[in-house]
Amino acid sequence: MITNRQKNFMVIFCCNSLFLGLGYFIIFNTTNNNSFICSLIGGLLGLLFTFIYKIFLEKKKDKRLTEFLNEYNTLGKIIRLLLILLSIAITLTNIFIIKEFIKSFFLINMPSFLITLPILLLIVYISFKDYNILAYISECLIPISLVLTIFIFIALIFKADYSNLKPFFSSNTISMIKSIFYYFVLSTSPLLLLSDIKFNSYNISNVYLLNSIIITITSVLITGILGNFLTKTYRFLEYMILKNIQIFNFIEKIENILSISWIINSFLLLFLSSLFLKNLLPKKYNNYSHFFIILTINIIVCTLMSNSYFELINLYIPYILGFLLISITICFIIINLKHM
Amino acid sequence: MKKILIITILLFLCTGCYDYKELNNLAIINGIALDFDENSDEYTTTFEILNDNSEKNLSYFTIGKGKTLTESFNKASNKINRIPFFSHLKIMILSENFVDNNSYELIDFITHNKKITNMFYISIAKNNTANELITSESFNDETVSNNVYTLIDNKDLTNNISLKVDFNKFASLTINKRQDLYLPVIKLNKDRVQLDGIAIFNNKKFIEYLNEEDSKILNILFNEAKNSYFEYSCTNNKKIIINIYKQKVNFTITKKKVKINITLLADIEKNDCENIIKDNKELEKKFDIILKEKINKLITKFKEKNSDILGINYMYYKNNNKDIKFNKLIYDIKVDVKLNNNGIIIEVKK
Repeated sequence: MITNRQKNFMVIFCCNSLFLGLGYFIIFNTTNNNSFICSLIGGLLGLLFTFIYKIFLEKKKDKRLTEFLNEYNTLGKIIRLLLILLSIAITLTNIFIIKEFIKSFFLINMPSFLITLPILLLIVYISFKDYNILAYISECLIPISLVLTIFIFIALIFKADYSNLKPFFSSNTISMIKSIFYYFVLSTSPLLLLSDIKFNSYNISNVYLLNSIIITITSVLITGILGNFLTKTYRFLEYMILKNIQIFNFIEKIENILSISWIINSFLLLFLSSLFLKNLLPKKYNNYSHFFIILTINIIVCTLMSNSYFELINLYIPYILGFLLISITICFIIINLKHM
Repeated sequence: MKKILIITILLFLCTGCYDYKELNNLAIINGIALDFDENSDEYTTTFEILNDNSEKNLSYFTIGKGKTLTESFNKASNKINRIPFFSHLKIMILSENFVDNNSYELIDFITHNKKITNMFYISIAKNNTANELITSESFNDETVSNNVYTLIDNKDLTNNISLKVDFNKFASLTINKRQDLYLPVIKLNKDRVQLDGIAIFNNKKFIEYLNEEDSKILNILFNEAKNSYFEYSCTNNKKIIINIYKQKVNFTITKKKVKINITLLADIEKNDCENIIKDNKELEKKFDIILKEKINKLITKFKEKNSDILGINYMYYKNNNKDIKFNKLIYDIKVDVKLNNNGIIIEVKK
């Protein structure tokens, strides 16, 4: 039985994790100092999605997702296929970003495969458990992540130059729309991976809203600290601002400790996506098909995808996730209408 | 058995021992000097490396020359029989020629290089090459890089004749097309390095060095003048010296006018003119006029040189989303010096 508190924590890491190295980077590259406005508007758009999603989850009741989708024949199969593709896309993006993040700042000379191996072992171990285990892990780790986030906010809030936020609405309309779309897709698409859990009678919107506020504050701090020019220079913006933390002149250079909060979120999303993949893949072949998929993704990420693939990830992943998210949402609306 | 096997595998793979480096095998680079020769189109990179052998000098140097920045870096690195370690980099000294021609290249190089952190100060070498400065005589049992770093980091203790420009600030100012670049200056004085004002640029090209007095005034305009001393001579050999302990600067920019309101809270450090100026209010007014004149003179210099060091255009752009020509504007400067009467000593009885 997953408690409401555990559900809150699960929603938090789902909404947050795709922003490390990807979300903030593409949003800031599109709208620069107006990114916080796009985060706010994107958050409101995401809120609308959570209402539709909540209705779907209530219709699903206590059933497992596979059981529920089997009731809808073709539509069910389409949703299942789309969800499998979504979890594969999220897993690939997440493994790639974690690998690049660790390789860029922590273990520069370490071979990629050795970086991802412990992650892979953990993912596979957890994927043979159930969602309850993931809920317990979230309950243990997300409070740490939240405390670190609050610490970051307090440490940086007086260091930011808020005049960098101006001029408001200086980006063109197309860039603003793109940025809002990126925010909407990256904050909501991982939420679909929670659809296999019993989430009826739980209000997902409140935590989503809280998370949107956290991301907006982070965006404000990034603009305030790095300014309008450096935001387009660095990739891991949220990590670069941590370098400015200096408390009482002796607590400094703690960016590696504080960045654990981002790694926790990304790890948990990887666990969720692997569990989700395991439960959604057909069981008639064997129980290990998800393991082979994750292993293949890992081999692709480690051997074929160097850091130059960042451009491809930035260019295509938001649109791939966006396509999958919108298609699945339309299918959810059809299911909701059928019930009505 | 299975558990032991897993623990053994984890011990080898997950404890970070795989690619460890002994401290003895590292060449800890403390400072870098970069020169550029326009005639030969050649870069010179000098590393100041900390020496862990206490019997010898505090640091030693390696020099690399090449047609690109990367080549010169690699050549300097190849001359060390250890692994170059850039995480303790404190200072980067650039020559005038280098800043004029290669600012963007340097930013590109540093941001792409994973091994170099961006938490170091940048300064410009005056009269000598950067190489000559970094290889000069060290003092106070410190390396040259450490000396320069300490001087810049504690600029308020040296009368604010300099400004702190770290790599992030340097990159922002270089990329920003609405504000001009400025850098702290270091020079050799009797074979030892010392701070010497601020270098100003126009469109990333060097223009001139501000003297110490102008540099102090620029610190006021940047709201960084804490611990600056200013003096007023009431007669030939009698002076009043004040020390600023708090300040507030406010810019209001309209289409035609820039209003600069400056409030300075100061202590009287020395007063030889008690018999001439008896009232503090009168003294405050004197300093208001002196500082206003100095600020006006500095801003006129910026206007003449077409160097928007203060970022007036950038400030205007932030509020109005439009550009403005900073040198066509009228500057209305208001200085309000407030002298502090409170203190331990009221008057020295003679």
